[in-house]
Amino acid sequence: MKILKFKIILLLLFIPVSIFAQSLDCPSRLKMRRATPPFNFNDLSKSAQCLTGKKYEFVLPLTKGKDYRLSFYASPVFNNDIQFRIIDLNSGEKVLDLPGETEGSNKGECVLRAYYDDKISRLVHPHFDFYPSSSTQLKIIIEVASIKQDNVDSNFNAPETREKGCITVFIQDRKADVVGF
Amino acid sequence: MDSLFKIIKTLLFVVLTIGFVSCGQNGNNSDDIFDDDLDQEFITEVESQTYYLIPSPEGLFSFIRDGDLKYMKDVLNPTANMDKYIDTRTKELNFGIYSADLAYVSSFNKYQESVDYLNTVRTLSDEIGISAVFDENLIGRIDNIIDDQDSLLKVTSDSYFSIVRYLESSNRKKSLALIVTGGWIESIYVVTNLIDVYKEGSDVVQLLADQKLVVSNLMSYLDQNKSDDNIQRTINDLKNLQKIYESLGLEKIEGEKVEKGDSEKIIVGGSNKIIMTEEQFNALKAEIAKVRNKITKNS
Repeated sequence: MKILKFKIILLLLFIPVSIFAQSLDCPSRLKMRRATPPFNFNDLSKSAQCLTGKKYEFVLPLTKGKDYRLSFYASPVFNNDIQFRIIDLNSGEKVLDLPGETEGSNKGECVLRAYYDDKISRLVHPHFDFYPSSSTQLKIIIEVASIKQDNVDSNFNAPETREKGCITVFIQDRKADVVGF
Repeated sequence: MDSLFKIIKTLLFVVLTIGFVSCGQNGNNSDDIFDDDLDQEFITEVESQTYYLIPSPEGLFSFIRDGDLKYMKDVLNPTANMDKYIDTRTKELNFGIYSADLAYVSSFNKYQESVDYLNTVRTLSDEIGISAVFDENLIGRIDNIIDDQDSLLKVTSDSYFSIVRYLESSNRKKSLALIVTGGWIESIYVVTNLIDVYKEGSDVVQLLADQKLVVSNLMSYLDQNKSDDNIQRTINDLKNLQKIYESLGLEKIEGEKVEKGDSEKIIVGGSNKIIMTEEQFNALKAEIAKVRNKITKNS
């Protein structure tokens, strides 16, 4: 009887904890990111709540005199099924157009999946270095794919279902090597 | 058996009460953005979402810290002015202004001034309901600041970023918009007041000219929240400033070689740069002073 009581109490305490644990506090996920010297954390970094089947744009001003390093992170719920495009608004050029992951996930092929770097003999999360020859804005377009029908639990009404997670745009910067203030 | 049911009933009551209280919390005071109303709005109204990113005051000052930035305490908003700010809009705008002043004084390793501005920011944070940002960890760091520029700067920039993160987490977009606007206005006001004489092509003038991109982001960001009267008033106050920035032209970059030694670097920015004439600089300096003083004097 005592064991039953104990189990029920545990269950009742556990249920609400599980419910509240679903909360998404994306901005706080930036706390987990640390700049890699000589780069510094840039406080334009952003972690936002995103849904499957939707498009997100981040308009990021880059100032001449600094080098910028961008990397991206996404919640596992998206299965890395995300397309990343970056447009340089000053020149109008598309400077990056890559998926979250590819089959091989080699260096330069994808945005989210780590690759093995032979030079340093370890896995590296992809990052992209930008050098502004003059101040500009980057438009980062992130398209999160819809959930495929066969992945959707049959108990759910498929058209209404949206998975939710966080996508982080992690920005680091350092004084530019070539020119600067 | 009866006692078991009593326990179950009591626990159920406690759990449900906690559940209802949590769901009923105002988003302003909650760290949780997993809110059904918000989600429905998010799902049905927003097919694509744009985030306009605005640099912090510290981010702006960092460009000129090693160069032309001089220390001029007189340009800052005196901490004694804090008592003038009664309504929420003025408090939030001036919170941004004081945050910029804090970033400026800590750039110069001014310990006592930094503590004064930090205390002002903390007091105002209490009045606008974001005192939770200053948790034990942050307060401990502030109390232990030694006379060290890096520590001062790190703590002040971490405080600013914590505030931004807190406001985003608690979905207080309008408060954040006003704070960010106040911070940007003060940064530009301080920088324009550090320049005695306009020097064409100088780094600081170029930095001010490049703010055209930030103004564009700032105005778009405010526009996303213009249904709020306080934001609309702020947009109206910034209209002339926006016009000045829109009048800035472009110039082809000549004679500047871009090193492409690192093949993994992506060169962006094209071949044009924004230019600001002396006349435009003077107009900017006058207009930013007008806008800023209206906020700090609460007139």
